[in-house]
Amino acid sequence: MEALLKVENLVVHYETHNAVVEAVNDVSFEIMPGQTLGLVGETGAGKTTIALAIMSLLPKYTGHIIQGGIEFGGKDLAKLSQREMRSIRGRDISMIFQDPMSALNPVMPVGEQIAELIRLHQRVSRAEAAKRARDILKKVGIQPDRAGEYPHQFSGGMKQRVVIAMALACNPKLLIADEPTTALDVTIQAQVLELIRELKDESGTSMLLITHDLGVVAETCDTVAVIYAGEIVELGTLEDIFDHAAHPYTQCLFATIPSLDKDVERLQPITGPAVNAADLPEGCSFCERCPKALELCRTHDPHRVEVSSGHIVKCVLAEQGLLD
Amino acid sequence: MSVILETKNLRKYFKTPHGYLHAVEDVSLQINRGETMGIVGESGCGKSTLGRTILHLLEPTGGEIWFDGENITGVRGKQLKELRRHMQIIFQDPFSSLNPRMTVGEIIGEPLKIYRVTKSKEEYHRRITELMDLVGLAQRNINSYPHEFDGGRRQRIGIARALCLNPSFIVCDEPVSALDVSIQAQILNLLQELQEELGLTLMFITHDLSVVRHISQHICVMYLGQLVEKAPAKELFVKNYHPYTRALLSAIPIPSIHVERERVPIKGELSSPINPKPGCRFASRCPYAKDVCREATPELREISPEHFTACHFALEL
Amino acid sequence: MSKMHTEAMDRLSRKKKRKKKEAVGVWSEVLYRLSRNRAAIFGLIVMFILVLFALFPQAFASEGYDNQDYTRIFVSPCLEHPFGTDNVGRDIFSRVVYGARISLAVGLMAMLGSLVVGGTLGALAAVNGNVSDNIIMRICDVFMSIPSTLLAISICAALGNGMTNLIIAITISLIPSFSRTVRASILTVKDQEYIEAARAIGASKIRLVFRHMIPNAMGPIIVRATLDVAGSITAAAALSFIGLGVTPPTPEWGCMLNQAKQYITSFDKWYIVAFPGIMIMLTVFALNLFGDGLRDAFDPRSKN
Repeated sequence: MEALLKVENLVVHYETHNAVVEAVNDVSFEIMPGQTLGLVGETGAGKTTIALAIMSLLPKYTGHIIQGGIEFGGKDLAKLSQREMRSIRGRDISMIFQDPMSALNPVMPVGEQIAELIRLHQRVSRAEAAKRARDILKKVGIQPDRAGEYPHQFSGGMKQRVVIAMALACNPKLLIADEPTTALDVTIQAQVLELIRELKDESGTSMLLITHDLGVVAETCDTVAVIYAGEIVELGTLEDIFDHAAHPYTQCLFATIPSLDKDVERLQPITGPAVNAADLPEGCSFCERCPKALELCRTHDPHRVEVSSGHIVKCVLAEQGLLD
Repeated sequence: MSVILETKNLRKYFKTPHGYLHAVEDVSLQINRGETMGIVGESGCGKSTLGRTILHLLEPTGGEIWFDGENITGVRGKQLKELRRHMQIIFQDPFSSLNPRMTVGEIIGEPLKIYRVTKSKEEYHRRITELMDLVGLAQRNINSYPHEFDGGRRQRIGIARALCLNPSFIVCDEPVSALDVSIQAQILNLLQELQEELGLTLMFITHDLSVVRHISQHICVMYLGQLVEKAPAKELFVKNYHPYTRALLSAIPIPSIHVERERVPIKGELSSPINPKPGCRFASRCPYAKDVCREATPELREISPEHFTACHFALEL
Repeated sequence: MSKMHTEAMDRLSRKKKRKKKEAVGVWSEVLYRLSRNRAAIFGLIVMFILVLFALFPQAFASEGYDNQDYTRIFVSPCLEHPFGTDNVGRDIFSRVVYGARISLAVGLMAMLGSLVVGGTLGALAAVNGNVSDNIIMRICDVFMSIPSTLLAISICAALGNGMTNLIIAITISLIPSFSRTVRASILTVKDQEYIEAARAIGASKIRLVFRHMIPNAMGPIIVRATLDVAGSITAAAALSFIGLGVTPPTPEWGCMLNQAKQYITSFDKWYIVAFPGIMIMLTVFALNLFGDGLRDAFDPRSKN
């Protein structure tokens, strides 16, 4: 099967007046049609930057794609003009942001916003667009009668539903969800995740889910990419990552979360501060905090090693066959 | 075990243009010396308001607060200032809770200046470096500004400030919610170590159930201003009676691919407790609600030793 | 495309070589941004020259400001008299230099006066809230409903001429808007968590205001104060021009314009009117550029 989205050796930098932030360093992954890839990592790991690069929404003067290709449906998105990108955004690829308010126009009724989006990408009459907007609202669990209401009349979870409705209005092939439930309470998060899952299954849309919550990943994704300091340190199926985690960072990440059924006296934190993307070390970015680091790790930036089919690890230990 | 802090029917209402918002309603709880009491609930359930009311950062509308065997409800002036030596708070947002124009040393040492506890400059300086050691901040950072640090180390500054006057009771208002998991574990461990070393009593407010299970001895679950269930921490996750607690627990995503769970579905979203009608506040979302739930407010009652719940049908469900 | 890449890489390697800056406070960030703003630096240089004029007029002026000499009336600008001489033979350049002292003094004093009075009122309103906020703000509203120039004119007319009265008049006309600025900027920091944190460690109200609120609310207040100096200088010139405020022979620029107004139509004596006018314009322009630069430096987001 042909991959829907293929990101290859992507490098993205931000330049500010006194520093260069190496936000994304040589990232490669692909998403198959109908599949969900989870991008997991901590704040500042470069998750959102990858999404923005795919959408061509990097900040105009500071963000630069230094190298790499983003292949989507046979086109390299990194080479398209803004004009061409505009016709793809919202129709073929759409995005859900963490803060639903930033995606909604506060002075326009939600139904109209959805209808406008449909008319932007499809040649349909005003009445037809309005009707479709109401249908979509119904699909995401909002009464169609509320189409005339303004965003502030909806609660947080309902707003996120509206945003999802907008994202799915044109039946996109790829949905990028950037921490879609982080701002929501757990009970509402459960409802929204359920909704996303249902709609995705129904329409066969692929999804790139960005999150810091391994629990959300376990419930929603097929494959997982663990990202640290702008690099994918481990990539594999849900089973590879959750049951056979090979990279020390992934292992630490699991060990550091308090469990709901096991008792421990103390948690095992990852020691030291998070890495500074404006000042990356020469060798492996994680070696300062890694419990298994070797002397070699300080100077040698490891290559990607496929430890089993589709399970890729970027670690010196994997290079030398020392993984347990 | 002695009770260090007790609230009796504590209430806090806010005036809004649409009526009174009952943020905290008849909350009665006891916290034992040296223990951690976890307060869990979703946003808007009044957990932060409860913590701030106990600390007298907000004035209670009704009820009583007892601290160390004394009724401290409504103390003012000198007494309040004295009380604040013993009760402190750690805030959620390590970015907005530190004055950006003050250095780390000035922030940590401010309480020393306010209470004039240190006799000399050397002593003042010594105490600050001592506190920085205690929370794991390098001493060379004493003249840095907060914006030069990441979230975890900023939170350490906030903790050092709270510990400055040797308090016995600290309200932790979501101290790790804004932090990444790897940093979160560092801060949780630090809090536990400090608690053991200094004999602190903590009131740990959070929305994260796995964190609260790890750190607390007892847990209170709040919903729209009311206490709905109160139990020993480990027990709550095994045996629980209130439908809201069940829904909450079943909604947490678990980072494992081998857990199959039955979701307890709850409809709709939180309403706001403005001029609430009598009856159970969870009734409109509760899958088991009956007529009586909409008429009479359920009392908190003891189901098994130390395990309280406020549901009319606690034992039948 | 590849060219763009190499360019980006080039830029990158150059930047990486640059040593990272020493850890700095919030103020030095502001100064750094200010130093990169050319217009603001231009304003600052002009201001610096004017301050030199004001402090050491003897060093620049060739003679005193009231040396009349009827043998040299209406001399056009030349080497000896760069700005020419006026109808009683005074050197205009010397008068303009001395005038800087008066204009700057009026501007600064009026700004300081309104800063102290308006600032206190605004801070009181913001910190205490409720009743005092309402009372103070409604009184400000009453004063703001009168156009500020008109207010200054009537106060000046009531108090009589003189520099002190001029300053008082301008100060009063500035107070309402100043207290609004201070109130607004304190309100934005009042609800920050560090204020609550300070309350929790038992800080007194005075400490809260002076140690925690005001330092963080300073940005907009400083900007406002800078722009108000410019406003006061124009107001002072305007009042003196219509015969209120400073009286001759004091070389206030507005006052000089007043005396020169009969020559406005005689083009061969253009220098009598032009130079005092240019000085007013230049000063206000420089102050505004500097104030705008300050605003951008304090809030880099507002520039986009």
